[in-house]
Amino acid sequence: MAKDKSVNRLISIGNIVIPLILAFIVGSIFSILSRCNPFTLYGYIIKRAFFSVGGILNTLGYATPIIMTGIATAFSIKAGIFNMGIEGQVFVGAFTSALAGYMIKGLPVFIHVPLCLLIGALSGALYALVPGLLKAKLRINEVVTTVMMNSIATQVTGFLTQSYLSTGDAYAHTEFILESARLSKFISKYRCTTAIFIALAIWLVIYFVLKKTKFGYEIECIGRQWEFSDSVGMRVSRKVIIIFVLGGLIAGVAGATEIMGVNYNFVSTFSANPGIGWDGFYACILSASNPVGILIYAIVFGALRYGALAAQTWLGVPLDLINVIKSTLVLFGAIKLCTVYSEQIKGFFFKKKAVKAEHQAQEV
Amino acid sequence: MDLFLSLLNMTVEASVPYLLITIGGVFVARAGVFNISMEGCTEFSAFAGILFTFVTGKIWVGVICSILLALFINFVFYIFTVKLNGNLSVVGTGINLMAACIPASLLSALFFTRSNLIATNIINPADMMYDVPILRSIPVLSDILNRQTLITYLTPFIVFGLILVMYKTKFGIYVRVTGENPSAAQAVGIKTNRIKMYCLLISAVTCALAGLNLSVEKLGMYTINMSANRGFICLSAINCGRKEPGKACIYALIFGFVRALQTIINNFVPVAISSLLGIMPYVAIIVVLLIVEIPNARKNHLRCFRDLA
Repeated sequence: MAKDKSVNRLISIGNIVIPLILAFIVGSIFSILSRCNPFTLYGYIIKRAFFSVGGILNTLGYATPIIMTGIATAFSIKAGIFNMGIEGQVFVGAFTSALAGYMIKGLPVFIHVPLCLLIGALSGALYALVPGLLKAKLRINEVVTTVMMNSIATQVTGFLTQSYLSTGDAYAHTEFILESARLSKFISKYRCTTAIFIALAIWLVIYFVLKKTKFGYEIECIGRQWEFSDSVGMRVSRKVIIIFVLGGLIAGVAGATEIMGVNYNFVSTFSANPGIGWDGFYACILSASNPVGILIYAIVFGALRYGALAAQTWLGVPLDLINVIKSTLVLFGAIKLCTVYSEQIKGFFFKKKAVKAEHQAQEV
Repeated sequence: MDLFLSLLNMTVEASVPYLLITIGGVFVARAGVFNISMEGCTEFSAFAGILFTFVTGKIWVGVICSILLALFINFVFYIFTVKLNGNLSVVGTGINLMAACIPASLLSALFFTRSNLIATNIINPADMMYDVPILRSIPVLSDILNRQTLITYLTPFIVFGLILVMYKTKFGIYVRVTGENPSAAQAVGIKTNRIKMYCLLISAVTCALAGLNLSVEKLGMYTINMSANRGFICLSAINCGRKEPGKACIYALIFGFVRALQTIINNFVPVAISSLLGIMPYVAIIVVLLIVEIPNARKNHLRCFRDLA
């Protein structure tokens, strides 16, 4: 029986390791295509991202928004809703907080910063309300609406930055936010800001909500069988709206911290390639919406993002290579190969025992 | 009047990819597979068409390679979801994400650009338009329908052919049964998995044709994010049409019309606003979905106990 347990653990480890190996093989192929030794590349990324104080701070800085967007996605994925609109909500939250950052003048820091965060969060939540209502009341497929809303968000914010809010510079950006709306950095050279505490606080709260409260339990139930949940009296459509709004709230905060801590103004490329919303989506999918897994994957993705940027400048490897690795991870992470072939694996380990049992049976 | 004619002409041109992706997607949706990877499949085939044309210098090689690649992608989708029980949305997202980054990384690895691959020295877009003598002689229709590309002329035949397949053949019945009641289908001896595979392969070919129409035929070049959410738009067309091929195609035509309208209006507004017009197709979809679904709002209310009482 103990052996059975250990084989099960082996299977679940295999489910994580096999996609990793496959993704790194695919990544290696593409890295050879870009004329770079894959091991040099991987070694370089790990060295840059983890083996110095600056590297760690930068890694954490890139991981901060991914923690938030990942946990924002986790809500909906747990409830069986594929909310792909986090990216759009990040854009809306970032945009509104950037506006609030320079338009509201004369406030002290301890009011201005929370105000900007609140505005970003609320606008993200409002933007998420639309697909939420459509899903809950009219059962319109959320994948389609959220993807459309993403495109609308990026195009409208880009348009406004280019036309009405532009400062007349060569590249389109809004005005810089005021000193009083900025989040402070640990060391001014590196990316990590106090936003990481916000991210961790959100993470803790959501972890508690998902694991320990009635609401978290209901989300899990809805994810497994929403018709059943509805008929035993959970108000599914109301829960669906709450899930969307909460996701939008957190996504809005993620966008706002990115502007207030790192960029200080809104440029339409602040979350490009593939976007912090999408990175959170990857992290959530790969960890099967497990909060601890999201934290780990967020840090890994932060390291990959920073390492890849460094590799782009110093080794000339295109940034897209890292996205290839990530998307391969998602694709192969979707199939649990070891679970599919669990019978065969168990058969391999228990062969001797089974044969022995057979012999005993024959003897009797 | 001229404007109206050119609007219709543009609609015909713009609707082709929508129609093709939709009619293939209807088969997949009818077989009970929720496939969001049509977007990625279209993008990959648009890219492969230009890439192989550029490398080999022959258009037919590009066309064949692109169709083969699309078939391969949907076969992978089939293996991963149907055979290995992967989550449909996750696998679909994986393919879409790959479609967003693999062309870019291949372009920067092989050609040192990140944005586009131009093959106009091999493909002359003007040569891809065909002048049909019969159409030329009809006054109004010639303005709308004449001088279109080969795939544009093929599209109506593909659409009607596939509608006939869906409703008039044994295979069509098998597809519908597979989607509606898989266990009943299996009980009478229909190999549901195989049916799903055939549907996915049909969808692969139509997606490939749509991608080829976008890249090889119209422009002779590939740009990043060429399919521009067309896969998702067609998904909503299928949903609006309640998975019936005829209705879904009408919605696809509506979306094509909106796209054409956007292109036409673009010519009359200042540059700054034209970037805002890009949201028109997306807003149109949400509005159409809303209009289609509001009459069914009451039916969606699912409260089993209350209904029993």
